[in-house]
Amino acid sequence: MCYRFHADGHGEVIAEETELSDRYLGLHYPASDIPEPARKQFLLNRIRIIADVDAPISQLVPSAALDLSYSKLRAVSPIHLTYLRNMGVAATLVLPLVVDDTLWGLMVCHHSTPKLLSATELHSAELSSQVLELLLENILRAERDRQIIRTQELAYSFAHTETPTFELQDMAAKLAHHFAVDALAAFIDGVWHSLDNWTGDEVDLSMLHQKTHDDVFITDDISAVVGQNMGDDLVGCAFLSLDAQRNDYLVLGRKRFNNVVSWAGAPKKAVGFDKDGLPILEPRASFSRWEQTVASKSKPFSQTDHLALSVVLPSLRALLASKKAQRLADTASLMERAQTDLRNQLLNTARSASLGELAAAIAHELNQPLTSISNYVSASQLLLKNPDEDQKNSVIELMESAVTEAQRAGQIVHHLRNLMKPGFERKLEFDGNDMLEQAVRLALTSSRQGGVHLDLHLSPDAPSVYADKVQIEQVVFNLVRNAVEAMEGMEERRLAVTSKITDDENFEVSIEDTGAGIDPNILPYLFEPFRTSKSDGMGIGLSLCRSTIEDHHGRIWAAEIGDGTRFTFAIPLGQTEGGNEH
Amino acid sequence: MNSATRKITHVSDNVDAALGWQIDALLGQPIDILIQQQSIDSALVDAPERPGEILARPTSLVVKRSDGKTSKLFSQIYRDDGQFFVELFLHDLEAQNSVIEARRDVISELRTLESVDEFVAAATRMLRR
Repeated sequence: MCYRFHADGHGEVIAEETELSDRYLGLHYPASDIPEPARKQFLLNRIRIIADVDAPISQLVPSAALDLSYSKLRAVSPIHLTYLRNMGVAATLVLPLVVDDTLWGLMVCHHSTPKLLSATELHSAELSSQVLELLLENILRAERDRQIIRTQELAYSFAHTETPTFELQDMAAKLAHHFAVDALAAFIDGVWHSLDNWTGDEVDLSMLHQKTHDDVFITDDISAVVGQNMGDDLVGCAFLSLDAQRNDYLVLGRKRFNNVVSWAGAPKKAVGFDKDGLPILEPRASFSRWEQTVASKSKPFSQTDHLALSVVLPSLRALLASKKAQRLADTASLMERAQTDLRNQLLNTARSASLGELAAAIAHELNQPLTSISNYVSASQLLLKNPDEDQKNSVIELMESAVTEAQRAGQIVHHLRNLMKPGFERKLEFDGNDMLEQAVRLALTSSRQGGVHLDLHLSPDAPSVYADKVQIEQVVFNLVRNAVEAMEGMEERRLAVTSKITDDENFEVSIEDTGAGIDPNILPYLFEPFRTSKSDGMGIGLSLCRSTIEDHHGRIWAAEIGDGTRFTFAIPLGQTEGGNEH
Repeated sequence: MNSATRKITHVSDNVDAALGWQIDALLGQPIDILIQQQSIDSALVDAPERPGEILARPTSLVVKRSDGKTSKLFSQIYRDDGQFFVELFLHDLEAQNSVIEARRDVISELRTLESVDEFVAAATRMLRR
């Protein structure tokens, strides 16, 4: 089953696969079922195996404290073993899912009889866990990024509004629709504005300025924070601090929502007594469904909502500043800052969104070692069935080969994890040709289209480039993917990739395709965000490429070349931190 | 065992039942009383440091029983806080390839998924297998 943690720490079974009659899908478990020390342990040791809940526990000798946090064969709390027995479980394998260094959930395998796993199987499970985590991380990031990019588009429209009569009411309607809220209000310059659907009275929320994070505060139960609701059954609140000193704010409200939560047993820890009559905690004996109706809260605002609200905030401030007709210079500065913030946010999310496409490449990269492992293990099984003892001795060698392949698979996963981690600028010196070839091949591999003929013309001198390698790889990756997509359905699909060192010490890369060329209407805006000719594109890839290249003090341009398009970028070969020019 | 002296500092008390050794005969002794020196030497070179992201991969070791017989067993070894932790798995050759095959299957399945719902459904199906 897959167990997901909610924001308040309690968990819910969100997927299940079993032949047993006991079903847990949809059941919620109180946060205390997995106490904090156990959660910390899952962050340290990414696998936990209990082969037999009734197996005698072997003590370590001497018994002086020894930290076994990273051990695979360590025993667990006797309370947890009782908990499992109460559930009718005899063996478990737990693989934590950690996203952004936080415990997102657990993949939990239960067995109704004892089940021993070998070292190889445990290693395989650990590797699987890493792959699952990587894919999950990218799916979650892609979901979040899609919402953030849509919000950025909204913020962009606010920041670029050319309508002189654009009013608060227009903005409120767009925000209400975007964030799925029931009503909006604002308090600006000491005046309360009931905006989109707000029919309740004025309410003083000024104390929330102190509670914001990134100038945003969210809650699904406002009365628990300010001691009163906002009227009209509005209990959920997203508070945007427009200007704390002037006490300007915007409030988005959500109405009360009747939510039925199904708990696995009454969510209370039972208290028993030990042999000396002292009270001890005991796990629940019953896991039967126990329903609770929660009627005091709204549908919650998510952390992604929080992030999206902080994305839109600078544009709202800029818009309001212009509405207030403050001094022109101030407004221009605010607008400029909003644009810069937006561009930086866009860069981060766009990079992570395009990295999500690499997930498909992982599967391909892992296929070969996994097939080898499978072959080695199949051969081992055949040998084990052979009565000849000499044959059996060969099994160890085969298993060792399988382990070597497993290690290779692990290294691939490790490399891709590093590549995918959202990061800060990491400049290093690298061979430009190697980087180019790897990025081109990875982009072609992960593309769903085959049959592209690649002409690679690399600079004869291995160019030593000092730059953020991951970011430059991303530029190549995006340009190649665009080129391949542009050639879809064409009879001749030829991709020419060229590198050279220019006279002015730049590393120059050209990517030419034999695609349909560029729509002349798009050409002037090619590198601007949210401009795309693709029906399913967001129009951020080329904008990201330009920002990255400009951050490296380089330039990027496109040209029609008859039957196709050529994109070229050039970046300075760069300077190492030691100051040596290349 | 102590990573500098390579002497055994702790053993689990099932070492008698599993390998025939008395605990006192092992504690404070060099590790090669229990594991053939050549095999432990090469295994320790690859042992990852904790904390860290590199996984401890299974390594086969030639383990000596108290009666002088030897067995090849798989182990996982890591280094933490000045000590090597050597965990021996006693049932290794019964390994089955089902988990590995399931993983290969699910990777090909997962590559087309786009939502959390689809992901968790596929992942639980794989682990169930």
